Amino acid sequence: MKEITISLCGNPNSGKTTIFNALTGARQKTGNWPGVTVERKEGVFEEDGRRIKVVDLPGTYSLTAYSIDERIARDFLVNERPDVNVVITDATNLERNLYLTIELLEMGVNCILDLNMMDMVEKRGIKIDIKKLSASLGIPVIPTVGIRKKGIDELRKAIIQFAEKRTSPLKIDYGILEDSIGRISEMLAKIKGFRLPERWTAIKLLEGDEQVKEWLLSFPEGKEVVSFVEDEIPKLEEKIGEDVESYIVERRYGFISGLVKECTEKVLAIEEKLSISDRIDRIVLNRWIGIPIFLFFMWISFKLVFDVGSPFADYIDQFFGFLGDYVKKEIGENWISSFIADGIISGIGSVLVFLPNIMILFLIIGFLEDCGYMARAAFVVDRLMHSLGLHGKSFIPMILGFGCNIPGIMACRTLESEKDRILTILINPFMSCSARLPIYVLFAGVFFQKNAGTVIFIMYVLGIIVAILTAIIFKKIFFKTEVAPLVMELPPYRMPTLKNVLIQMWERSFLFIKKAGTVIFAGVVLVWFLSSMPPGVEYASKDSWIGCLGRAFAPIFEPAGFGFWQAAVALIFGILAKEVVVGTLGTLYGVEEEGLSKILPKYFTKLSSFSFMVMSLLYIPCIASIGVIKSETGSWKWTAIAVFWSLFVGWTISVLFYQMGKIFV
Amino acid sequence: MYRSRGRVVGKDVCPLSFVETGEEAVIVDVQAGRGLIGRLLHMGIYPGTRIRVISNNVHGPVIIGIGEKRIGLGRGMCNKIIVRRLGL
Repeated sequence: MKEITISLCGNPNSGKTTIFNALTGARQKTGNWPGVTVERKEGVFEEDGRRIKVVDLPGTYSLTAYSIDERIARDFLVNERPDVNVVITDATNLERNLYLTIELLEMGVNCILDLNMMDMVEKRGIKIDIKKLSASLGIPVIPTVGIRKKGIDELRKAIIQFAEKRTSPLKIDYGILEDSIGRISEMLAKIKGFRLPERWTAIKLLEGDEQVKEWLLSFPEGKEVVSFVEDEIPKLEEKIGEDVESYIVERRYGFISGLVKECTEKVLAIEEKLSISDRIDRIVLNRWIGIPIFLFFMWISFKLVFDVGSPFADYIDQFFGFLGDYVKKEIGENWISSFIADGIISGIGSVLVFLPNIMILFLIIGFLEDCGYMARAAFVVDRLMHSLGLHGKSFIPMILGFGCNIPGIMACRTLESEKDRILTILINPFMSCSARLPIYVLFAGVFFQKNAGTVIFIMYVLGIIVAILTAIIFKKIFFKTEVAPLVMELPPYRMPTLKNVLIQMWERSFLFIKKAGTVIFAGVVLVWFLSSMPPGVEYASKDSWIGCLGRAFAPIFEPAGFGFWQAAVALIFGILAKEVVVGTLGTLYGVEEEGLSKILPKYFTKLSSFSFMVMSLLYIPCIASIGVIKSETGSWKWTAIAVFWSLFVGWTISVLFYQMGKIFV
Repeated sequence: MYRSRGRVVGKDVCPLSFVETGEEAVIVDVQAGRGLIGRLLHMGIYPGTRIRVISNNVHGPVIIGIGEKRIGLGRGMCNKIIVRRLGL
């Protein structure tokens, strides 16, 4: 008798692997899917004297073909047409898990529904009417408990029985879209050799599925259908008032929730129906302890950034120090070696030294986003934000601003109200971005040693306070209307995958590295050039061009406690990018970061180093941020307000700190 | 049925903010501008939807459950969503 091929698919965490192992035992082989590094597992078992090959498909939530995993699963089902496809579902979360099943059934795949984790379902007091579910879907439904191998025999029998049968595709009523679906299907039916189910293809085309479009375009008549669909979509969107894709998804969920309501019965009291996620939310979003929990997380985060990152920073620092010495030794002391060692290596080096801190910061932000806490944080601060004239959603751009103000400002797009959006953009530069971290790490490290972490934390808090005050003031002057209300989906808490978090961290950190390689590089070269001119002058001395520039500006900073030209120059160049401040100081003093920590105490006191940090935090958005403020607000007026306000605030506050400090210390 | 000259009336009909933790309710009206109504609809909040209040403590956000989905609503929003209470 012919060998039966079956496939297993299901959402991640539905117990697919345990079922696969239970079915096939030790007779497995693993390899990769062709062309990609996604693992392909195969196994065999025998039942009733028939040989059954089992292919384990990657875990997916749907068949939209947005990801590699989804594409593999779909390609397999479409091209290799297994005799039976077993959908493994986490029966405790039926509504979400059934989505994939429904998609498969719409596609006309021969399915068996495996309701896994049935023991948990019983524990939670949910009753599932298996017969009803099976009758509604027109497929066998088998309850199992994978880890205890319960129901596996029944599953095997069902596979054998069902292998020869064919199910007709499931039809969901798509309401307004039905007319168009019908017409597209008719067009598809006329294409010779097109073997995908017409109705399914029509729906996928309306959903904007790129892969299906490609398949279709490989037929000469396909072009006509695609252009018809493209004309049809805007017309439909006009009618339904939202995009067609989400309409389709909603209809599917609608069908599923009806089905689940029909076939399940919850028998427990409300209190016990709460999921773990809900219980956590009751604590995390509690009005008394929500904010302390939030602050605690923030504090821990910044502690980690500093304490874990610094040892790595030392290694990088030593490396660049070594590199600079090596170059000088190899080339000899002349202007070229000075350019390479003093300019490029020490400049770039003093910036890259902070890469570990920045990477950890992005790692933590990624973790908080992925585990679901970030969305809660918006609610924790919503009330507070409202009283400040801001929106709960203003908070996420602000948090992103800690990484870099540019994505922060861009993230303001999620705010629906124009006024809320502009206000959130304007305060974003006060959120201390990672570019400013090197300055604090250096100064706090040198002047506050053991308390460095706390001082850095104070800087972040100060940034937030200034942002808040700015918001209150601007709200009074420019925006007098009410803030739009906050509505947001709260995803269930989950453990983020290391891979996701790492990828996000890398992508964001790479932006920083790129900046180090471009803007910052240009900055350091400019500094080096101005420091070496006019010819014959001692490098970066008082009489160099840069020295003159610094001396012209220095008196402005006198009241803040650092009225010497090096500080002035560093701050001027900091406008290019805040990272340049440390690099410039390094270049001006002709030392690496290591050396800076020895030289700085000659110029700064504890107090003036603090006011210098305050100044660096507030004094102006970097050139790139200014550019983004202009493009996002679309107005020179707001851009000018952002620049001049920050110059005013930065100078005033750092002078205030220094002068007050002098009285008390 | 629940509307009378733009105002919502009827037995057990009240703003969402009045509904207590653990109670179930059916949305009868959303009093908001067009844009907001559209967005809420997209999230599954529209008249006829059955919801459960997962948490509602006086000043914090209200979390509602629609099936397995959880949606947080700011305080201001809760006064604009009118529901019919179904009790515990």
